[in-house]
Amino acid sequence: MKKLTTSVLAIVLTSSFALVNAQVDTARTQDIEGVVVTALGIKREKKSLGYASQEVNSSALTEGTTNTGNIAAQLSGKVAGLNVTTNSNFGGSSNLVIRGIKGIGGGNPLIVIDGSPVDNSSTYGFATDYGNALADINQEDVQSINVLKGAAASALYGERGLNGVILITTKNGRGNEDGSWGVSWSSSVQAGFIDKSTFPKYQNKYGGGYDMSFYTEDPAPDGNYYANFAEDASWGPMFDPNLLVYQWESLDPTSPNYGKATPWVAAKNGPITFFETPFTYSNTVTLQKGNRDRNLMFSYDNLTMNGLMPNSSMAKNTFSLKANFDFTPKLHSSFYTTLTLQDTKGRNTTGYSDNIMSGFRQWWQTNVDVLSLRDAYFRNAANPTAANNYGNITWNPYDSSNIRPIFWNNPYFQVYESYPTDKRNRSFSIASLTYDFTNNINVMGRVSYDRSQLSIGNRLAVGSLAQTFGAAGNSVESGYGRQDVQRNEVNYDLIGNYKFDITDNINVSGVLGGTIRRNYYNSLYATTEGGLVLRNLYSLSNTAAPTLAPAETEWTTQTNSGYASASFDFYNIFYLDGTYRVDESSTLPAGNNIYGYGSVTGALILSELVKPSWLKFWKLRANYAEVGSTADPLQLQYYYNAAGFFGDVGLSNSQTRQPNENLLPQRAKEFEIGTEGSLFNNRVTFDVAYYKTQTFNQILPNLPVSSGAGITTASVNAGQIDNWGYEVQLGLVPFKTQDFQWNIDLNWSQNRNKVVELLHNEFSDVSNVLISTFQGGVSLNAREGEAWGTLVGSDYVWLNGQPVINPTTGYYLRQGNQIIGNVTPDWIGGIRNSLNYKGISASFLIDIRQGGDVFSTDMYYGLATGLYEETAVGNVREEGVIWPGVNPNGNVNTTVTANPTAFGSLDGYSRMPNSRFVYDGSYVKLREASIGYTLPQSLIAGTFVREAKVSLVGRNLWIISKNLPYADPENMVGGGNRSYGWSIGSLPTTRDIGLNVTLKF
Amino acid sequence: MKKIFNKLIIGALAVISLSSCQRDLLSLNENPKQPAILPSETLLAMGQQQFFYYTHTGSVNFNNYRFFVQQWAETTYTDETNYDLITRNQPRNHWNRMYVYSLNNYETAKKNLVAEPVASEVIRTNMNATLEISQIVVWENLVNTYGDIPYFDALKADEGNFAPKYDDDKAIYTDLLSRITAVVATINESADGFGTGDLVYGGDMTKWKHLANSVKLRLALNLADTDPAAAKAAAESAYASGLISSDDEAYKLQFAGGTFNNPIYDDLESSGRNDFVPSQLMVNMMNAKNDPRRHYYFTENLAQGKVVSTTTVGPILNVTTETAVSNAQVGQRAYKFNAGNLPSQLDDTYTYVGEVSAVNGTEVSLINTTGGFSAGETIAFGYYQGGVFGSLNPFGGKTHINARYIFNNAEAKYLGYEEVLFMRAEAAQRGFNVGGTALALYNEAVLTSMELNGVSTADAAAYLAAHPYNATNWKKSIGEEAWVALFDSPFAAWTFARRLDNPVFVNPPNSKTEGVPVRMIYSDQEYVLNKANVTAAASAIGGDKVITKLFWDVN
Repeated sequence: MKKLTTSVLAIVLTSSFALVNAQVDTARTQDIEGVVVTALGIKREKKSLGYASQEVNSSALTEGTTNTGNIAAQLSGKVAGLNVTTNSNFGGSSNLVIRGIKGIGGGNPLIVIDGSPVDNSSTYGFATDYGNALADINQEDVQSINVLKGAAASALYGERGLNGVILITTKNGRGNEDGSWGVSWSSSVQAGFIDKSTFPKYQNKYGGGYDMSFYTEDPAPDGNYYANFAEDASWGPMFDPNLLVYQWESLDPTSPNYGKATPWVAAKNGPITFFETPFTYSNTVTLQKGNRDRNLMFSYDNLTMNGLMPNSSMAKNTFSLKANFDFTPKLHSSFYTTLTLQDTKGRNTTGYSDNIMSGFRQWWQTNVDVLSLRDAYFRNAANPTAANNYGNITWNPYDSSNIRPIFWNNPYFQVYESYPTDKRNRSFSIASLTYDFTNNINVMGRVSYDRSQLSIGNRLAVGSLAQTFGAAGNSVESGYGRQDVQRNEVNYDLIGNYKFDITDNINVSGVLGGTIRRNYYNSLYATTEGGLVLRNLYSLSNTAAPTLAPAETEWTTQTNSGYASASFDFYNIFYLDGTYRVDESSTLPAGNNIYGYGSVTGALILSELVKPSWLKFWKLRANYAEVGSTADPLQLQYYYNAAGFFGDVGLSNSQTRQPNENLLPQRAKEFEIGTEGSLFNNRVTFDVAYYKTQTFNQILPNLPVSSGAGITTASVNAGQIDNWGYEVQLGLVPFKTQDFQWNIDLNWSQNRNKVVELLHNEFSDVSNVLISTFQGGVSLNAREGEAWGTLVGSDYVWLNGQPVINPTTGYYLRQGNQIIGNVTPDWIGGIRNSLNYKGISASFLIDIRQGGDVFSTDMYYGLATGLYEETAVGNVREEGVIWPGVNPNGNVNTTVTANPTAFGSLDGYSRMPNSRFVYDGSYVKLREASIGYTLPQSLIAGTFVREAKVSLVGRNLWIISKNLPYADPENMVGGGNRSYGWSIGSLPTTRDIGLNVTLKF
Repeated sequence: MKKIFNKLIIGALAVISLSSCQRDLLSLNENPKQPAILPSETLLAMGQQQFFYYTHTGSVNFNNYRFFVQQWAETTYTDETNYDLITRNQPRNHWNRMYVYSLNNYETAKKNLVAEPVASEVIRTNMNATLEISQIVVWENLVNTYGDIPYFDALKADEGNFAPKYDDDKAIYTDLLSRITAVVATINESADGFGTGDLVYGGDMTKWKHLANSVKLRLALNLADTDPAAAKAAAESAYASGLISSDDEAYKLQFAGGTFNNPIYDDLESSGRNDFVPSQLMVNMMNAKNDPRRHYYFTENLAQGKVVSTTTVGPILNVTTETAVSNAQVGQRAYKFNAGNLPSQLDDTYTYVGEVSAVNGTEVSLINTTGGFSAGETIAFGYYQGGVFGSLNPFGGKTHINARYIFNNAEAKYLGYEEVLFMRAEAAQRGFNVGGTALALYNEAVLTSMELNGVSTADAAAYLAAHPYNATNWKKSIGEEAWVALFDSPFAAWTFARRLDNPVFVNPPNSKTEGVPVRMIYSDQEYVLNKANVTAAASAIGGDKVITKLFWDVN
């Protein structure tokens, strides 16, 4: 296994606000004249809005698909302009982006529940994806999701609305019409089945080794060879059932094959047999009662699931309570609280090192039978001793006399002994009190409190492969680490609403208010050092060597804001809105920390002016907005982190960043025009938008600069990124009768992005920002003149459009530091069909992403190590291949690749430029499909059941088209910037099929 | 107007504000857990740890000096011995470690030192000299690794200079020489410098002075082919002022273990990997000279034969084996094999018996015997077989790097006494007055290297007698011997090899570069963060390639 470049241990929190994707599901929810929730919870007539927003109601969100446990994932393909990327990690992240990447460092929308912001950060650390925080919200509580796409829509949210806003409205309690309690129960069970197009197909001609001989050890006295134990590749000797070889099992005294040479053949049970069938069970009970003045809803949701990896499980319990109560006709109160308790075991490792999936996809011997590994683990784990590595009998030992793992553990040992655990508690509460002074003026006070506590425990069992583990960063063979992360946010709002008629036909309404927001973060990280003293005691005190002081991180930020808006309505034909907001931020320096910005929007209802019979509604809209944004905490100075003791001398980590005491707020401005309408009695509805956003004066806390300056990054205001694009929504009702209705909902969006400028002046010359580095020498960058997300690595050397080949070796020439791709998609779209016939409903959603390149580290190594089918076509390993291309003199290449019998000589990382492993990440997926049946009243009449529905649902049933071999182009490493462009050791995608039953009493 | 409006709104907000005071708000931005400033002594220690770790490491990700001098070969993943300096960004990584993690810590320490409470100004001056010399050593590494580098404009991030211009390497040499002269003059050897934070010399200012002069000697020798007059003047002034005069004064860091391990230990031991073996070039040269240091540099491989009979002729024990043992050669050690399986490398199941003096088919003669054999026992011959540089080398069959280098608290030597002696030998050969003849200094250098590696005086003398200094082909004598002696100081070895063009390195057949590196290419990041300056520098030095020779490397 090739060496790891760097290791990142402690947890990283991307301050990404999760995105919800909402898509209008049917014409029902596209009700042009309906009322929608806008910024700060203000309800507006949709027709009066001068900006794009798109609402998805609960049925479109949840009923057509299996329960993913993460409503962010369920927005995929449903909202124009909203890009959702969900990976296959167990309990992993869904990343949301609205209208493109607006900041050099990426960015995700703000999530707001019932008017109050909530955390949706993606948590990643210890090479593990801990998911995005929106997954804490119980999908059964959600009434609808409204996506505010542009700056004008979200300007009232100020700094955090820059990347768009996703507004979630929770359900209110509603009793039965007879005034009795309403009770509903819904239950679902679902199972996942591996989509084999997202898993490797091995060749079956050659076994383990780096070349075609058994050469690492002399033959045993009986003349039979030892397998190439230490060589984690399949470029070894050709299989031959008549050839007897001492394989890994022959070293295991508990094995029936102990001391025996066995036939040299491809394994019967490959890695796909390692996986278990993931099941998810979910049950929700909802109790509700009330009327318009006073109502109550209580819900309890229990979700349990196991993952593809053995020994992985998650249990989540969510309790919610919502109450609305009018004390008097003028004094209204509302309260919502939710508590989520989640317990997870065995999340999968991501990335390169110690990731079982990277083993299966990159470094493996095709002769190794996975079920034999399972049996070897359980036999030995029953009697763990130092002699059997405490059960870690691996296929990949040093040699016949040393059974310690050299590169890879027995995967069963790893999942059953070295599994991580995490506990997550989340509570979110909002309380508000509104007093109506008059019919036209009211004042609302509101407090919200969002708190999450994540406790991670990380185990490395005694007997493991030595690996970097722990705060000191040394390589150890066992250990334990824990990290506790607490985050909370409090918002205090005081908002006055007003509404006046200026004349009979001209009126004005709006808000005047203020918000104080406080965020708090606290993390404690500690590990053992030098290994564990006792087996199976995962405790910091069970450390073999002195530990470092726990690493503490703590900060508080506060923003005080004031804002006002005015909306003018002229004759119900023309609407003009203006907003203005001022923020005072604690994270910017004095003098620069108060800043204001605003928006102007207009909407013209053309259908009030021209009234052909077929035109039901037609609106033109336009807007312009500016927003400002503040810095992350603790940016104004550099702070040192302790790094441990050198003998008696305490050291810290070096300063690598130049702080900036003069940071300014960053800015964005956006211009948008659009039109929406409804034709032929709502049989056709449309919404088209064009927008252009400029983000400038960005706060780049870590702008890379020449390290000749003595630091690697500097905190500066710089850089401009432009985004522009189109969004189209189309709703069609091709067929509609009393009993049957067919709806088609289509959305399409294309975002273009350009990093216009980084930083050039007398003292700086920055034209590239390195965002992340992938195993294999490829990096993700923001590069001037290119779209955000440039992949940089080595490419072929080109001559007259042909790749150049060295005429002596037959290998391609390579040149480094070339642009070899871009992760940003060209366009995304979704098509949803829903059919209703009496009580039967069916729907399916096709989700499409066009473009967006992916670098595959799996192919980079796997083609070199000889795992995949294409590495054993014909006699390529014996005879080599003649790669297409030309020699430097321009002649067509005729040289056969040198030395093909050694691994890595023909193809793969050592011989090919990085661009060989960049694939177009386009896909077309059958994302959702469902058939539901609502029992007719005649059947349930007379029982206590009022409504019953049964449905069969599916998710990710079919990847109709993709270009990335053996993996799903959507399955990246984690959330945030980890969701772009890097395919490495991902779990396969599962086709999920479930059965839902909903009963209302 | 807008500002006033903003303030009005915020003022109105204060009514509902829980925290109405602007100063309270901004105080939230002070870190409650971490310091913003460190004492200069801590910064010195941080810079030293980083400098020694990342100049000494054998990791494929950093300096790669051990491959540039072909002392180490790789076993399985042979990209770095084929000089792939692109995939792993070694130029960027080494550049960053030197500028950011080493130089800049010293620079910050200098700034902090000005205002720190110190017992006396003499001590403060000594402390400043310590930092200055520490920086000069890093500069010497950088300028001799890359050529033109940011120097006069470097380390000015706090002044907002994020794209420093590159300076001519010769001009940097000149400035470094005058800086050394200047700083040595400020040292007061009878007073202290830093305390325990000086991880190398513990505040011994004489040692710092001798280091500074030894670095001056390195710079001077490099100038010898292009500016002999300046070279002579600098070398002689360095000698006159005092050079490193014992291993105790060597610029070396003994790692502490625990959190901060020796990098070779990390590469070869704690990683649990088998990535590196000594190169064939090294092993064969030492085999050819029957170099006694092999026993201390490497572990032995073993060839074995079954004993049929033995005879004794005077001090010589003749052993007849069943079949001729391949790999049995004169000079090898012979062992008796006691029991157990057949390990490929020496372990404690073997007993030393004697040294091979002749091999004749199945008959092997041993001298210096410490025991004998009985028929039916196994005789094992220790031999050394290096890895082919640039090729796959199965770990099992090759000689390994000796365990004495592989301790978590082993030392990393950057500039040692043996190197100073080799430099003085060369200087004397070039006609500089550095206290001795080339022959005498050469002999002392070789003997010192032997002694420091544990070789007996007799064996060392025998070696020297067999391989005397060759004044007519002095570049080969000094070049090869220094290269062998500096097996664990690869940067020093690289400098010798480049200046003396000995030993001769061969570019492996699958090499990704046009030749064996004589400089490190610039960091890829410079081309996107400091493009105009790095492009100008690349053109000034004659192209940013590994085969572009540094200004002083003219032969």
